[in-house]
Amino acid sequence: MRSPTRCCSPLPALAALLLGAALPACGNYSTEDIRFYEALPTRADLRVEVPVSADLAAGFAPAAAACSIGSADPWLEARRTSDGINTAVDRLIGLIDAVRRVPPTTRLDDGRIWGPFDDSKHPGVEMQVDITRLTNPDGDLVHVYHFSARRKGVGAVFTPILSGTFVGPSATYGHGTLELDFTAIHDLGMQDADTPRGRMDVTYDRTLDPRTITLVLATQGGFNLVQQFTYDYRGYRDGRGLFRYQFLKPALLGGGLDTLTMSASFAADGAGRGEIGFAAASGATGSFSQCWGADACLTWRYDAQGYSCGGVLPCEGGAESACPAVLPPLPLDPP
Amino acid sequence: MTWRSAGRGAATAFAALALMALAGAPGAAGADGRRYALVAGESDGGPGTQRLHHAERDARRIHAILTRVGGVAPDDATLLLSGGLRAFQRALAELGARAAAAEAAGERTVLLVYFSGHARDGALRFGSAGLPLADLRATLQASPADVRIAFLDSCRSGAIARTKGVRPAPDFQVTGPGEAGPRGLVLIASSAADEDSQESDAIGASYFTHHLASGLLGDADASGDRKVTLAEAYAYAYGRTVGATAGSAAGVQHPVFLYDLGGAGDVVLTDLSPAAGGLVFPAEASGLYVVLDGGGRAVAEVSKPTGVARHLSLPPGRYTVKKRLPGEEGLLVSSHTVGAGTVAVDEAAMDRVALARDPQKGYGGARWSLVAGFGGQRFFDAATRDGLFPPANLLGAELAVRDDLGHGLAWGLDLALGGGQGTLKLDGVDPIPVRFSELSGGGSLWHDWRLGSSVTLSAGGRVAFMWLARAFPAGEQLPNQYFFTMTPGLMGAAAWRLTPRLSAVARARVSWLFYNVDRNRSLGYAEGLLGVEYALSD
Repeated sequence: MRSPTRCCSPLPALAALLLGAALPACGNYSTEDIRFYEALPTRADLRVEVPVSADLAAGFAPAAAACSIGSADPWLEARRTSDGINTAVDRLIGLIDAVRRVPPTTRLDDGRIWGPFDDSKHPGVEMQVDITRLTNPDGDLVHVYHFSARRKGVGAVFTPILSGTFVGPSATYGHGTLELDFTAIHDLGMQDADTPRGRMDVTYDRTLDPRTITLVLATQGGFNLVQQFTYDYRGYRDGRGLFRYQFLKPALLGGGLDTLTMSASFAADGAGRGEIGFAAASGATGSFSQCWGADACLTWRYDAQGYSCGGVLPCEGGAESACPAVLPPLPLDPP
Repeated sequence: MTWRSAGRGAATAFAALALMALAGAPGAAGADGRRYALVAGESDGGPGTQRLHHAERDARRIHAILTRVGGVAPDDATLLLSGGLRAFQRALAELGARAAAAEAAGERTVLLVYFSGHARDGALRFGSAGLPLADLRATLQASPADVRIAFLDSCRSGAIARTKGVRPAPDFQVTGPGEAGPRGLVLIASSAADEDSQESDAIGASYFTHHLASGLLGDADASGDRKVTLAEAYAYAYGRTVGATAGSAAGVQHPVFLYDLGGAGDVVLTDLSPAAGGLVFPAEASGLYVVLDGGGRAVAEVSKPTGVARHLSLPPGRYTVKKRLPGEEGLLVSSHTVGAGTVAVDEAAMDRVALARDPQKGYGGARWSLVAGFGGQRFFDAATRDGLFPPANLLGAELAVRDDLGHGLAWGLDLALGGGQGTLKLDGVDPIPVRFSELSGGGSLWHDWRLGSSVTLSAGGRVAFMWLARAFPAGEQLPNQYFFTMTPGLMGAAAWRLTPRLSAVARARVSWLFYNVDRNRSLGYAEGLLGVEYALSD
């Protein structure tokens, strides 16, 4: 007698189902993760928006001859400075974005931990990211995060290289701080060739109009010997804005620091007014004022000492009444 | 089981043995002259009777046997299915006349009459009309045919044997060689004058006719000469009918006969040798085998001792042979295709199956079907819909298998692909557009309930696995997320048969999803699907 034969039995399918039933649910499908991600700043949150024409954006600065009283070189330089700021922010956010690409390793009620995981760019270094959610006395949610690294080895502890706090439910509508510790990066051997020692502090607030971003870079060497760079930015929703940046560099002769400050106020179309001042370590000071149009050609210039004309006097032109109606620039001396 | 009348009686058990003892040397079916057959099945017995389920099939079976191996030319056989009394009388008269004409031409003739139906108050019932048994007996006695044989499968049909002038079987004498062939009247009734004749839904026939047919097809061939004589057929039908009805609630049923037959030799009812096609049960086989046709209905039984092969003559077709094992051990089942030759039934090659898979009880093998449809999925919790799992559209397919597990249970495997778009709403955060997709596969076990011939309702359980994923449009800078989990649940369905193979299906499921990423939660959701089901077999 032959054994029972069947072309297809439900038993394998049922067995597979039972086996599957024993499998735990798994995945990264978490809305709470989204809340933590929302506390991390994005490029858009920290980007400074300085209006510029299409030609300028493409790198075509107007020739001085094309402008009746010259081109707004400080404004164009400020554009490049802003681009540099944005590039730095992009690199910073790139580090943060790495977290977004992988699910948390550990989920706590009010925290998430990623790692430790190997830093692919720096062999022998492993990274860990943690975000803790708190509630401050005002009842606001506060997220505190650290991007830490350590050299692999027994007893090695994680050192924060990037730390931040954020107050509010999302980076889009809150305010926060970021601290990038270049010295720690050096100590861990993670630096690039142009990485200075020092630190960079970023403060941003998107709760108001204007939204503000303040960046302070304090270095010890590197960055063209700039010891401190401060950048204040206030951007309005209608496209207007203010910014002021200041370099502190060692004086070429003697001790002390030379200070160069640029403060500008601009309209949505890029036209604006700026004040440029310097204070040498020797005690000498000076300043000049300019207004420009959307085409980055000066519409008014007042430079009693001719700093912007290579010392050639007179260095004035146009009419102040031709300046665009913009907010007064921030004072050259930060409070 | 249906009674063909009321009442109960007794019959002599030795009658069968007597016929066997009286049997002479057989010729061939039809060798004794031209044969005429009137075969009638009457389901309606008139007021006070219950409509018979299998009388017409009984008649068709006997008609087929007589015209194939019974020596009756198709033109000489009349089959009446609920034709009524007048048609019966007219056909009987016409066949009698044709027999008379044949007689006049010098031919020997045999007239075979078979009736399956109700009998009451001494009369065969044709709806509200009745044919008294005495009248039938008189008509047959007056028929000019040399041999008149009547098989009456009706309650209390044995009353016809009480008719005055009919000699009891023990008086039958086999005449010696040289004498003319048999001549006279033989009456065989399915039950005694005070007994019910019974039919069985299980075998799809009346007991008597079923066993008579089995015997005529070869199982009654006790001599092994591939000819079934009147004596062999009666002896076989008697024994098998008594045995089959011994345990019935209606009481044991004893076929009876009366023989008023003179002349030489026995009457060969069926000659199996010219019909090559059939099944052969080898000498070493023993036990009771049931042969089913393609529709799962019994066409013959073979009750076989060891030591002699048994040939069962069957028309070409597909047959299933089953043999019940002792106790509740199950069945042996095999399928055979009969053509022009004989096919051996090899018990060693038969499949052993559970009793629930009895092909005689309608089991024709697992029935497979495909379901395809379109529907939707929605979680019950509003917050979940707004955030975690937005509503989704589903495109699903299922492979359903019925009659595979027994107990009326069916099972199926399903697969569905779905997706949708929604918005993730978090306090203090701009709504985040979400693109949601899922893939689920599951197994279901359910029971079907048929409502009428077109509608089937189903209910059961389902265990499925679900892979869910959501993506956030570019610019949100949020990672894609996925989740894999199991979802047990309940399912229900309604199917409306549009054609024999195509049905419209509405299906609903209620399931629970075990979610454990943010925290342990059990989320309920519902799915609905409208589609079509296509049966892969009849």
